[in-house]
Amino acid sequence: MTRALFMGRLRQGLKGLAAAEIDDIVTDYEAHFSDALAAGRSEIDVAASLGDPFQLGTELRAESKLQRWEERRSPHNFFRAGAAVIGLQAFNVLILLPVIAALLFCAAITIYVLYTVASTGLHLVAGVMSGNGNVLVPALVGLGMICGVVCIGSVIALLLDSGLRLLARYARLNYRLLKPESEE
Amino acid sequence: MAESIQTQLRKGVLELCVLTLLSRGDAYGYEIASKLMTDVGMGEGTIYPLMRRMQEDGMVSTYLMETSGGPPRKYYRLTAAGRTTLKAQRGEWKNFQTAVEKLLGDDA
Repeated sequence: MTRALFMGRLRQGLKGLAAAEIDDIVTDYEAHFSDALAAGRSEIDVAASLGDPFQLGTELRAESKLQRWEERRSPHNFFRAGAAVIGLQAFNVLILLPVIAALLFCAAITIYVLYTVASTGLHLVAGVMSGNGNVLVPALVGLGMICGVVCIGSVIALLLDSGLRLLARYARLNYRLLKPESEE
Repeated sequence: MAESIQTQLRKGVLELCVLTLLSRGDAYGYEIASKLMTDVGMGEGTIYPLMRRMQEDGMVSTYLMETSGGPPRKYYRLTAAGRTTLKAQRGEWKNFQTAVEKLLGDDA
């Protein structure tokens, strides 16, 4: 692999990171090539001992996104980190795809059920405002429903959070950065 | 086993090796990479992701230095936190080494 090809593949793997971060990483490898060539090595030799550039790129990207998520656990960072981790070669997308589809399906049903329950609860609580007949019981039932939904929602958020943490740990164990092509 | 014990061991102590190298003086990427490749048989490509992580963790800082002919070079320097980590990891490694050697004994 030539230097230009290596850099191109690396950039492909890094796609999705901020431009400044990509430039920073690319500069490191450019400098490495320059220094190695100055030391009398060939481009092919250097590229081979650096390892698969695309994989290198995706792993650097996943690590960067995971770090951002670990610093600030926002839903936005959650999805970015999740997507970057799933984009790793360590995960076989074909195997993961049905799992992801099943999860999304379950999530959709859960959200629908929670939404229905919550709106019924809101409706019942709203009955208090109208103030006719015995409103206390339906109002309490409604309040209970809303609290239930909030509670289940939090549990699901917690589950998603620990799910990604597990995935992150697995991904980090399987980073192949330390196993370049030249090594058996 | 997917990975040899050698690879796993290297992964574990790579950070300690880099910290030690830098404790003897500032160095640039290729210097660190080629030193680790010749001394511990570490793949060169692994060094840059590691340096990024160590920088994020505050163990090393970087600065640019002009070179004669060519773009400025990025040098890595050990921070105070890096020195503390080095001391701790060094101690752990020595303990581990002694324990394993004791277990292995002389039979081979």
